[in-house]
Amino acid sequence: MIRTGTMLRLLALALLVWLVLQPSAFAAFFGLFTRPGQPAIYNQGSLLSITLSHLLIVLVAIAASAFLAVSLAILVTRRFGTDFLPVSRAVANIGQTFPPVAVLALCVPLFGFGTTPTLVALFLYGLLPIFENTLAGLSSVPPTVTEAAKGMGMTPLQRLMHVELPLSLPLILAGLRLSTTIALSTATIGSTVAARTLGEVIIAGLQAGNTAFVVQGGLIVGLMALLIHDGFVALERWQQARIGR
Amino acid sequence: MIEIDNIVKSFRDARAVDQVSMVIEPHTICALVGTSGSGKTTLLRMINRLVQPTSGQIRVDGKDVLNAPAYELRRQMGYVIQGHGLFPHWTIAQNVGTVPSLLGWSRADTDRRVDELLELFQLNPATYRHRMPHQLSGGQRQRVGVARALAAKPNILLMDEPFGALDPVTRKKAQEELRIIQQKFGTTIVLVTHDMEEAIELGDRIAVMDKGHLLQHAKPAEIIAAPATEFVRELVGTTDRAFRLLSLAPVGDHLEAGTAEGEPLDASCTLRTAYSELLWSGRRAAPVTRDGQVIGIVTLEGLGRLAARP
Repeated sequence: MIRTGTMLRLLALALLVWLVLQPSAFAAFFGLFTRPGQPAIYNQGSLLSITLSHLLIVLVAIAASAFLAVSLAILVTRRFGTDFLPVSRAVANIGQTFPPVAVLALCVPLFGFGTTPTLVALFLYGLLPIFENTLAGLSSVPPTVTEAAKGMGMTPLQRLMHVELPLSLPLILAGLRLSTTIALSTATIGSTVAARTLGEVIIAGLQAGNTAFVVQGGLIVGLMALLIHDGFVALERWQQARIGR
Repeated sequence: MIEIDNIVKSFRDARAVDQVSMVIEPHTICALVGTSGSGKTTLLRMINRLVQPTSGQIRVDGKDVLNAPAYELRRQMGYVIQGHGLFPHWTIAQNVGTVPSLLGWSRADTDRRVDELLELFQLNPATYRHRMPHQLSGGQRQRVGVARALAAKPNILLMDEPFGALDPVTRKKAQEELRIIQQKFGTTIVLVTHDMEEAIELGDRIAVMDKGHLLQHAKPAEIIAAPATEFVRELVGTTDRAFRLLSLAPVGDHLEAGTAEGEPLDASCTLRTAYSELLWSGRRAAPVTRDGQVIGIVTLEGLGRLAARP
């Protein structure tokens, strides 16, 4: 069972790399979706560089949300920070309920066209899952363990770094997984305000009525989301197995 | 030496610990006994400052515990809690090496100490060093918990119902082990328990607490023979106090002259064990040996006299 799963994933990875590096190899396949005279492969830029730009935008945005969300979760689980819990929850919730499209629309007048509005939208959208999961992780550390850490003479910082965060890691990773996969697909709409993401390919396809472009863009995003999701799941499982949960 | 001086801990309007004063002599085991809510755990946790006293003073070797940062104080004391509290994401070696690492011991010194302790607790280092806590049995985890508390060679060991989660057989073994280790290192142990049997078994002195007050702090024999209050009497239990008295001394301390037939008893076993053995085998007397040499006898009659109210 596990073997088949791993094989499928490796296959998907190989497909993704090949597709991005050498799209012309798939011309025959994408040709099925074109109308006569239309190009089968996206021809207004390199798929590789667009994919890398897409990944980079997601990475930067999620890194920023992870930093803020994890910091907030740590803050509100300290004794002096419990008062901030409602405020932090509200911030994370608002980030999630605001549709990314609306964030884009609001950000363009502020930051102009380009990458920034997309980064802001993805950053806000990514906060909640990471925040809530980190919070759940930190509060699920068994009280006997924190008690022992205290009794052994760990300082508050040592307790956080050596005990609480490592034990919350599986849940934090689950939050990152959610945020990252959502951001990977949401990033495509960033192209409407001129961010360089795979949305560009899809939109070009929609505008020219070329289904092949839409399929290409969608396929690359889908494969990346799937692989990154699986990667996170594997990491979480490994962490959980280590601590025997 | 631990001196507890007029210590009070109030939670809002209730007093969890109310004006308790006592002295715990070095190299002894002091058992804090009481029902739940008696304040025994709070008292213990004030010694390593996991609980901040409302008023009063606790001195360890003459120094007020409030003088140094709490984490420094705690690194100098061992601490064992019920349900072991091992770090689930660390190997057994890392768990045992916690305090040495915090104190900045070298890697080699820590490793050597960890192996030494694992040996001491009969956990083969080669086998167990790299295991994770969830791969051990309850009894083994508890032993690792005690080993971890002893890692930095503390003079004082605080134990909060350390054997509470163990089955009776494992518990008995753990108690014997603790006794041996205490005698070997001369550690001062403060042990919280709700089990009077355990307190009598282990304690050089027993402190009985109820509703935040210290009712009696005395040697086990005195607690059994002359309970200070009705509550202490109840805790000791009246039905088997004679046997509890017998369980306090080894046979070797009460030898009689003469000869006897049958299976000999070892001088280190308790009078209670000897009494039970005589009744069971239907004998009136049995020879006592030490290191294989017969050194005297015990008799039912003699034991009967020792069990009577002092």
